[in-house]
Amino acid sequence: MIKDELLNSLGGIVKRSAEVFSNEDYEKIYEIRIRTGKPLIFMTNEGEYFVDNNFKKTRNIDNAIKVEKDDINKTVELMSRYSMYAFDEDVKRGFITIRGGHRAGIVGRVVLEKGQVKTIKGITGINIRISRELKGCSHNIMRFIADEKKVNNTMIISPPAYGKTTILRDIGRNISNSGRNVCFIDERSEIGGGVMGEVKNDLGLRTDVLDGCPKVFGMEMAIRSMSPQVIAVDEIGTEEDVKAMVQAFNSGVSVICTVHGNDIYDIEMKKSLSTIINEKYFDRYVVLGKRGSSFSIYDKNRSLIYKG
Amino acid sequence: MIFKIIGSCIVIFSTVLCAFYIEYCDKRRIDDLEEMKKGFNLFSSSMRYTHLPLDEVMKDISKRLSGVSAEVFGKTGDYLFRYTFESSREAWDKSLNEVFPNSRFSNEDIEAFKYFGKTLGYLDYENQESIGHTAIDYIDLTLKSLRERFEKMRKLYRSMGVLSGLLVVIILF
Repeated sequence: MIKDELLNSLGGIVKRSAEVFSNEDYEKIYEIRIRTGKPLIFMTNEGEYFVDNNFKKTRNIDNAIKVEKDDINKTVELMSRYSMYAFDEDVKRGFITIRGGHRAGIVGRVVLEKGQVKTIKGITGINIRISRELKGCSHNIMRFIADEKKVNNTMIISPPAYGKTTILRDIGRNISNSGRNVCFIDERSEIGGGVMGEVKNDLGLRTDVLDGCPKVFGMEMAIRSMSPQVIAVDEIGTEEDVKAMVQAFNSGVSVICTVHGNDIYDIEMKKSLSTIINEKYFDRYVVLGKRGSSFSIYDKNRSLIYKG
Repeated sequence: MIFKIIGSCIVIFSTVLCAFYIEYCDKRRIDDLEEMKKGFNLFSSSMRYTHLPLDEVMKDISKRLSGVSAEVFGKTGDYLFRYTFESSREAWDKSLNEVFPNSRFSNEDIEAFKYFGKTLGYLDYENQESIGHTAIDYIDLTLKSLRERFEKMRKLYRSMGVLSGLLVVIILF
């Protein structure tokens, strides 16, 4: 259960507050915002929830319990399974993936060394994004992406926290179960939902997962060693990512990826992505509405072919 | 007369046994500290090469040690795995306190080990490694003085065992 997974990773009043919510509540909560000296916020589809000083749910921010520095320290220690050193590389990139595949973004004082982020000390804020496995959520999209003959190169577009990763996971699982070899490049361990290489989520019968591997290396490694028919990769954006994807396209591997953006025109404006869009590498663009409420599908010429 | 001789032998044997026991106590502290040193060495190596989570590191170290040191690392690993405490320091301290009565560690040893626990798991791996080395340095210093003392005292204990036995026999008869 999501609640049990989360409670193991929370400390101090954050844990006591999280205990107040039921398993049903956790089906609606998609983010927990923890900030030093500020109210603890549980984000749901219905809006923000707080916990008051008597540890009761409230929607009134004025009564909300406030988080102390010590609560954040305890939570960070538990989130990292008491092993911050084991998450050095993740911390440099500003997050820790906790048990269950939930991603905890962290902010604090950034320590630089030779112009590069060395680590984050004195953590002052945590945003836990709750990961869910929604089997079948891509049902209406699948017919535009894959048929018996081929899997279309597909780009899934939406702003953060709209459900890109959940959709990507389900698409990958469906393709895998329909008889194709799929390789997930799971840089942040969000897709597999595991910690330290374990894969918790059902990603399909013919799926391989490169866990914690940077996308650029992961795509190259997968093509060389695992001969996948489809590569699924989350949150592309840099020019290096694009180069690695072009290599995959040229190898005859289908790519399904996600990218941050409001719509297709937003993506076209990004320098790193405009080339592959203009050269029509992608056959389908899926633009998601908030938390799976709607979606639009465009073809390689960026013409709308479905709106649902 | 025969009873006096048997009684004298028993007295001398008992005092010699006491001397050996005292010597054994000193030796046991050295053995325990050497095992702990192995544990800290393994900890530092794990930090450098494996980057595994702390519970796995502790359990792995426990399997490679014996005696009370294996217990300290093993119990800590179990507590961490079960999320019994909110910090690794509490788990480490609790394990030390549980094992302390069965060990020959001094209060100073326990304090030094607790210092190791203060930053356990919270720092980056380079600092974790150096914290392990700090504990090893303490053990090396303690072992050096203990061994010197042990070599001196061992002969003394044995001589005292025989001589005190003889003294008791002379006084009694």
